[in-house]
Amino acid sequence: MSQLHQDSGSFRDPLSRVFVGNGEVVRAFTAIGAKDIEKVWKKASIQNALASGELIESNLVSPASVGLNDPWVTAMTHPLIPFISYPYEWTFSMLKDAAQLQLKLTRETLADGIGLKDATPYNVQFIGSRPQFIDAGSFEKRRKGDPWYGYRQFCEMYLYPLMMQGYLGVGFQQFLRGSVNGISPDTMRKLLPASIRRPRKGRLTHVVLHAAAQNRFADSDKNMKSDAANAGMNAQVLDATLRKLQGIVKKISLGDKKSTWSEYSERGHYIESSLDEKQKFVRDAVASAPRKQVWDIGCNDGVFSRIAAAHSDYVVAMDADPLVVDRLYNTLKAEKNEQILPLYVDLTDSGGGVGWRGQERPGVFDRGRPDIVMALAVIHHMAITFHVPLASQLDMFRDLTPELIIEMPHADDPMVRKLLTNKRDGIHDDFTLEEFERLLNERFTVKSKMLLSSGTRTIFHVVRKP
Amino acid sequence: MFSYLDAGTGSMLVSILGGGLAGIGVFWKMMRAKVTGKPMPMSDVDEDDADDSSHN
Repeated sequence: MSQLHQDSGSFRDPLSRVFVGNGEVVRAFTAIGAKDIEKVWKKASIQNALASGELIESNLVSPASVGLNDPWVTAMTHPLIPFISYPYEWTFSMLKDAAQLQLKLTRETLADGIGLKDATPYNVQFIGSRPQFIDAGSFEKRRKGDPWYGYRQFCEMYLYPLMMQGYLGVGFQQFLRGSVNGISPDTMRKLLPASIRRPRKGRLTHVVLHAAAQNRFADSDKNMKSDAANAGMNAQVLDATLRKLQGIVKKISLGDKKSTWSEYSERGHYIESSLDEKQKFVRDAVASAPRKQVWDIGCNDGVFSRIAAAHSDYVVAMDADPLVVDRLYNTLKAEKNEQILPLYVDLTDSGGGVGWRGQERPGVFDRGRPDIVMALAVIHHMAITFHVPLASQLDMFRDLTPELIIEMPHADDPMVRKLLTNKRDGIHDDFTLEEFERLLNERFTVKSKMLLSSGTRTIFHVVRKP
Repeated sequence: MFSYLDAGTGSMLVSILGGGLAGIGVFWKMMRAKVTGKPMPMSDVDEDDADDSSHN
């Protein structure tokens, strides 16, 4: 009896489906999909991508061997990704690296007579700081005159979001979260004006002309594919397009930007001894049991994620500041770190799924089960800035994790006082250590706690009550 | 995950132009045929083109 269940986001490709279970991922192919794969799988470009790890490890198996029957005629098994993340949780540099991987694979396989059916960042996942292409079903033999089917999708889901952040300084994440189909050429044309002072490479062709051509040919029923083939459309033309796009993506940059918390660890918020104590407390708590997955909520520069990584298999490091996370990603990438996954996640606005029936891309809480969560220097921001009650925060942690390391700044903590500066008197009078401990004890059992030597913060290691 | 896409006529044309000089020749031939109404000579088609395209 098969233990596999179909992935809720796998339905757009009628030629294959993804199933998960038994500690692995299975991609099953219909007869047509199997034919596509059989024609290309042994090609050098595919085998090279597999060997380099740019394409996910894939083993061809019979569907029956993994418990699948009709209509599946062939299947592949893949290792489980430690934590599935989505483009709207990535930072600029992550999306840019994913785009470069997409273009690289598209070019290399094109030279081998292979076409990619699509160009969506949902086909890329990060193993720590390493991007990996996961949709082995995207490859097919390229037919004469075939265009690059993924061009529009590449623009909508990679190029325009990068342009938005690089050229306009506007975060792309809310746009990608708002639509699983990305940003349309027409929308991008309206958002991105010409700039003489700072030329916007790629705008004229890939935005303005693209939007105009889409509008002009919206009702066309002409078979442009055969026209293109007869006019000499070939792999060299597509390769030139891909090469130029690589150049454009490479040149879009974030610049040297500072965010609210990007200087956090340098601002000397903690006295040195407090930081040392806190690090020791966290190390002891995480190391007290084997950990498969740790979540570090409010990770900032990742100093505690690294401590956790030393005592666990995998760390998901989340922060609500994309520039902070981008900086962490680039540091981890330089180290070739595959154990810490940095993500832009605002917990006050991240619970729900998006896409078809709200299930195509599940919310962050539905994609992983951490053994222990660290919430260090974060709950006062959620309580005071975003008005999420302490009780509700602790309910969320209780539902999420069996163990929790949580830091509670007292009412007289300098950061708490700063956050309260422009708030109406009295509305956060319940933000006290006493009230916090009362709420905490209702839901968790305290294993250890420590007053940091600053005297204004207490850190707890707690276990969920049955 | 988003395969089986319709490339879209407008997007296809721009993707050809995006190749710069390499694409302009192709684009020009297509537009000339469109303006003159003269069909372009059919080129050879791969043997296995017809039966199994996932992009109809």
